[in-house]
Amino acid sequence: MNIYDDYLKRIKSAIAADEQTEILSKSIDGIEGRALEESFRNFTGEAHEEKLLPSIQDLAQELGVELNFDQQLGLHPDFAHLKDSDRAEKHYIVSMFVDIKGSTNLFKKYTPETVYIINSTIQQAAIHTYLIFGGYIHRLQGDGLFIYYGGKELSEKEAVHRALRGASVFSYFVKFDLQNLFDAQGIEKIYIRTGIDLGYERDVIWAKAGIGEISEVTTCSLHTSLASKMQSSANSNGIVIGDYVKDNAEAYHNFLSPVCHRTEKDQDRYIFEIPEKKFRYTQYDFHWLPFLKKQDFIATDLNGNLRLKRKVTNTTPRILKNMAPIAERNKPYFGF
Amino acid sequence: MRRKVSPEKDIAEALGQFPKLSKHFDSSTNTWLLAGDLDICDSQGEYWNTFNILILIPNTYPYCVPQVIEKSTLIPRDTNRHISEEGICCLDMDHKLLHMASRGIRLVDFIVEKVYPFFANQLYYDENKEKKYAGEEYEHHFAGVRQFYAEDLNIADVHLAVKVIEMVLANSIPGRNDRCICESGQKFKWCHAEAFALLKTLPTDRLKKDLYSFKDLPPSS
Repeated sequence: MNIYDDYLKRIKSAIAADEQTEILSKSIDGIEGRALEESFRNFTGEAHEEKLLPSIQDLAQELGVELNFDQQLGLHPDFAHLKDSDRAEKHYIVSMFVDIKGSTNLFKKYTPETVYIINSTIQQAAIHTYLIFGGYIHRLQGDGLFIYYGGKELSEKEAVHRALRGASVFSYFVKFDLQNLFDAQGIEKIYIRTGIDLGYERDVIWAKAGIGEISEVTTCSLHTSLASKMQSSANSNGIVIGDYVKDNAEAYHNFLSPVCHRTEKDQDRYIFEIPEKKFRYTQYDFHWLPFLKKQDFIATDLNGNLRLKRKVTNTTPRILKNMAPIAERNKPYFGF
Repeated sequence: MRRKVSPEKDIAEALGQFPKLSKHFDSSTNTWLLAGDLDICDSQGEYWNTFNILILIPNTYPYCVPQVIEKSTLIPRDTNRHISEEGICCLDMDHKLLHMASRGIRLVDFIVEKVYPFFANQLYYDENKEKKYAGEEYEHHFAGVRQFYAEDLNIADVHLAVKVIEMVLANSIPGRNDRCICESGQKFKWCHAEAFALLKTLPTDRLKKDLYSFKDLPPSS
């Protein structure tokens, strides 16, 4: 999707610098690493700025979102007051775990500096995407992210809606944009797996975990645990959701199928059971691509690629010659 | 020539490529219709606009010309915009559409080749300060039909048009190696064979309508 162009450019230039360094190090003594060092310096100079890259800024603009970068890991703003308290609070939350798989393969081909830039850029694209859809980044863990959707001012339904849209957009980036770039570079497959679940107020406790400053405000809930577990049930670039997410996404039932239909194993139907309480919790594959194609902010071009519906601005005018090749195929007539 | 296929399979294929359309079945007429949004992007994938449309699929599918109606009224109801008051879109010259129908259409190709370019051309016209379409257009009504005969079939002469249509209606087609009836001196197969082949696929009432219109023209035309 065109919203990730700037992230892809950053990865491409890191790869180019890595390749240049390899060539130079083979040919000229002493110059080894210069291109790479410059690439790394440029990246670290820009990467940690609290701003979206311009290409994804359009997505935020189309969705009418002003991003808040004042978040802190482990301190959801609606429950931050629990950090200095021994109290616990009950409130619903949507938990989402995203695992980035296969990035270890990058070390086969690139220096640690380049791997760092690639991984950080992917992670940054993820953070920006989830933030745009109203997510709260709770934790970064190696090649993974743990995100909450929802809070005191948002309904469960809206939180579910935002989580599914955010997860779908980022899955598209990894499955298509990133994969195309990596295919061109001969890099082995990198993919993500996502698990999402909703815990209702009755099932979610918010409280401080840890001691003093070695602590975070987090949830204790079966459904946060299940989101993590469902992530491992997903296939490559797949999203698996729980029953309660399904209950709050009636309009999306066409995009769901029980995981056991894919795996053809009955034991994969339920992600969790308490037989004596007759509690059986189903996990579903969320078919995010057809879902994404139906979203208002997305258009599908004639080649089947998804594009952001960007409004015309002075900086992005419509270019007639780009429409001509398609429009010329039409020779209209009026015969009524 | 396409073999008779079930519309459901082709509709599913079309909805895969144009996901904001959805299918509906009208049991009273035994016909399918697609309704919803068609997003238009340019050749670089840049999004331009969205039209809300209906595509009515006759029960003779695939041997048919689906009717396309623009519901969003983004296109002014003006004959110069090739659209009727009701929003029925004139996608192409009738003869070309009927010829296509005679061979059997594939719904997704119909949308890609006829529907999408029509709306792309409308957006091009709107954006173009000169208020022109990207390519050529046919004139309205019978003037457009004459233009089609002249430009697409190489039959500019009225008498020749009458002669050709009468021969097609009588199923009197010259032999491939005969001299062409247009008196060009060329063999038929190198001259007007393709024009005959196309006209032969058209319904008789269409050909008769053309014949009467050509015959009604003043002698000096």
